[in-house]
Amino acid sequence: MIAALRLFALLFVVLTLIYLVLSFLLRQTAQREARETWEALDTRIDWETYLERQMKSYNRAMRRRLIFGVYILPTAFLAAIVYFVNFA
Amino acid sequence: MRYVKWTFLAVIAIAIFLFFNYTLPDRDVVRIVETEVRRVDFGENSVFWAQPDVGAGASGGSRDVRFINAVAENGAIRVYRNEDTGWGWPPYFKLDSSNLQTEAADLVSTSANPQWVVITHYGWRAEIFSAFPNAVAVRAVDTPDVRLIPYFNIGLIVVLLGVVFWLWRVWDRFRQARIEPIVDNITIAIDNADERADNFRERLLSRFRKKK
Repeated sequence: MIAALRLFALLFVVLTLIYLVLSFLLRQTAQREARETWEALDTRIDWETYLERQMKSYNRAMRRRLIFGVYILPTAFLAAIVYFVNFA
Repeated sequence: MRYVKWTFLAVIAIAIFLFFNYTLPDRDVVRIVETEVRRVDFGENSVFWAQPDVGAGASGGSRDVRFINAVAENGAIRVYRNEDTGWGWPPYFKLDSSNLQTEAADLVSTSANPQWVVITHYGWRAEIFSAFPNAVAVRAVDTPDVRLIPYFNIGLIVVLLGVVFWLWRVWDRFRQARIEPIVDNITIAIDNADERADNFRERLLSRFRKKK
C-alpha cells in the first residue's frame, strides 16, 4: 500500500512539472503565432487587445486538453499495463 | 579533443542502448522443464533482483525466489526468475508472480512430448553475476516457429524519439532566439579588440621601420 502511495505521489509531482513546462511552452508558441497573424492582418486593433482576446479562448481549450493529456492519459496507460500484465 | 567528444557521446549512446535492452520486454520460445523455488542471498548482484512479493515485508539480504527452468528449441538453456516488480522499477507492475508460476507449472513438458511456450521477459542472463531475466508472462503456442513482432517496443521507441526530437526543436528555437545574439555580440567584440591590437602593433612596428 505504502509503495503504491509513494508511486502515485511521485507520479503526481512529475506530471505536474510536465504540465507546467508544457503549458508554458505551448503558450509561447500560441503567442508567437498570434503575433504573426496580427502582423499579417494589419488591423487597427492594438496588439494587447488582440492578444488578450486570442489567449482567452486558447487558454480554455488548452487547459482541458492539457489536463487530459498529462494527467488522465498516463494514468490510463498505467492502468492498462496493470491489466495486461496481471489479468490478461 | 575531437576524440574526447566522440568517445563521450559513444559512451552515452551505449549506456542508453544497454538501459533499453535490459528494461524493454523480449520474448523467447521455449519448452518449460520445471519450476522451482530457491533461496537466494543477494550480494553484489542485488541490482539484478526485484522486489519481494507485493504487500509482503522487507526481505533483508535473502529471499525465496521462484524460478522457471526452460530449454529453447536449439537446446540452449534458459533460466528465468519470477518475481513481483510491484510498484517499483521497472514499471511492469507485475503483481501476480504466483499466478504466473502456476501457469508455468501447468505447461511443463518433456522433450519427447514438448509443449512450446512464449515467455515474455526482461533483463539479462548473466552467469557471471548470477543474474536472471524476470519472466513477465507465459503463453502456450502450437509450434516453435511463431513470428513474434515486438509491436510494443517499436511503438515505445518511436514515441520516445518523437519526444526527444520535439525537445531538441524547443531547445534549438530557444538557442537561436536568446543565446546566439549574445554569442554573436561577444564574437564581434573579440574581433574588434583583435583589430585594435593589430592596428596598434602596426603603428609601433612602422615607427621602428622608419627609424632604420
